[in-house]
Amino acid sequence: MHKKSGIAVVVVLFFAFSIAIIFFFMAHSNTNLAFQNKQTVYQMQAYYLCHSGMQHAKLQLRLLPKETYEFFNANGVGNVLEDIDSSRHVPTAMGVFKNEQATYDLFEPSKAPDNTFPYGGKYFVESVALTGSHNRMKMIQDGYKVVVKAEVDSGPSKKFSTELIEEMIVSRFTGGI
Amino acid sequence: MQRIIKNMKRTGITFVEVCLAFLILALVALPVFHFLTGAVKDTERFYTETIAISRAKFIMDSLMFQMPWRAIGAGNPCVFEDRKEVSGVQAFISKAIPKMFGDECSTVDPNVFKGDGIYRCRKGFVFRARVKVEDLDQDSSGAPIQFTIALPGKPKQFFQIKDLVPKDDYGKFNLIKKIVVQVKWSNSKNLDPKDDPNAKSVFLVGFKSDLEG
Repeated sequence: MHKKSGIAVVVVLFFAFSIAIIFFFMAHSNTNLAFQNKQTVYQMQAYYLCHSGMQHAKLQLRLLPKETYEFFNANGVGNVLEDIDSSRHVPTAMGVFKNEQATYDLFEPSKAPDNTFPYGGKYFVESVALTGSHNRMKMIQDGYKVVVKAEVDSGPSKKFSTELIEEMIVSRFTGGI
Repeated sequence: MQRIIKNMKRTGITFVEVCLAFLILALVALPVFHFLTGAVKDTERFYTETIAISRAKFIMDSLMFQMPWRAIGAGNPCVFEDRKEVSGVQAFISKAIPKMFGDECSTVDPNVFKGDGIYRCRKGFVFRARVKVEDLDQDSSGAPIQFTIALPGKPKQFFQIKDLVPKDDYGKFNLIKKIVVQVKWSNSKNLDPKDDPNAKSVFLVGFKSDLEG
């Protein structure tokens, strides 16, 4: 009888340990979901900034196709689209995250004035390369490979960056893509 | 007989012991139920957050990659209309906008919609979506967007928007629109996020270039 006297303590400890393990994994699972949702938002914010940069780059290639080709034809070095950088233009400069952005709200227009943003970030053309030219065709076309990068800053430890690479063919004299 | 009963061991449990056992069980069960209730609430919170994220993505995707550039008018909320009155574009707007924003996005003009609406999910949570659009045109800023190119051996060339394109349908020299999407929701069922001081929001920002002209 004396040998079995400690079994209750063991059973209680085992029970408590099992419950603690179950709670830990449930809490961990919820924390993971919250983290994943936040990461998804930052990823999407960076994704759309990246596409914004790519559209901006395409716009310049459409507007200045001949000049862009001349840059490569004259053995230009560096990035011909270096000014496709949101931080270099006042209307697109999002800057870094500021505390007042936490109260940004489109449903209260006073909290979302023009020239402000709900979070910080930037996009820029990392590189552009001429991949080929079709000079013999009636419609002269140039191929470009553009690399755009974007960064999002939604606060301390809430940063995310992404990259987008596209190849496109641009008509040298009409700017058609 | 009485001696026999006296000598028997008392192996049963007393009423006090039963009460004590129930008390201990209740003390253990209380935080368990509290935790489970919290977990259910958290699950609903993640559910609403996921709905809001996918709605914001749907709206931004449609605006950045599908909606004709000229159909997006500036404002908070923005306005969707085709001033060229092309029937195909008008039909697209009238079908796409209610799907993007839900109810309350129509106006008195059947061909004009606003970027603002309300949507209620199947579980009864209420979401509001709004889009603000700013024209980053030649006159929007003292330092408007310009295009530059530096050819080897030549000074850097600067091109103003007004030097590159004519005025658009809104009478502006414009090539880029800034789009801000906000989806706001309440984690309490059937409560309009406008009336909830603890409403949550998700934001997306994009710059749409005119690649159609």
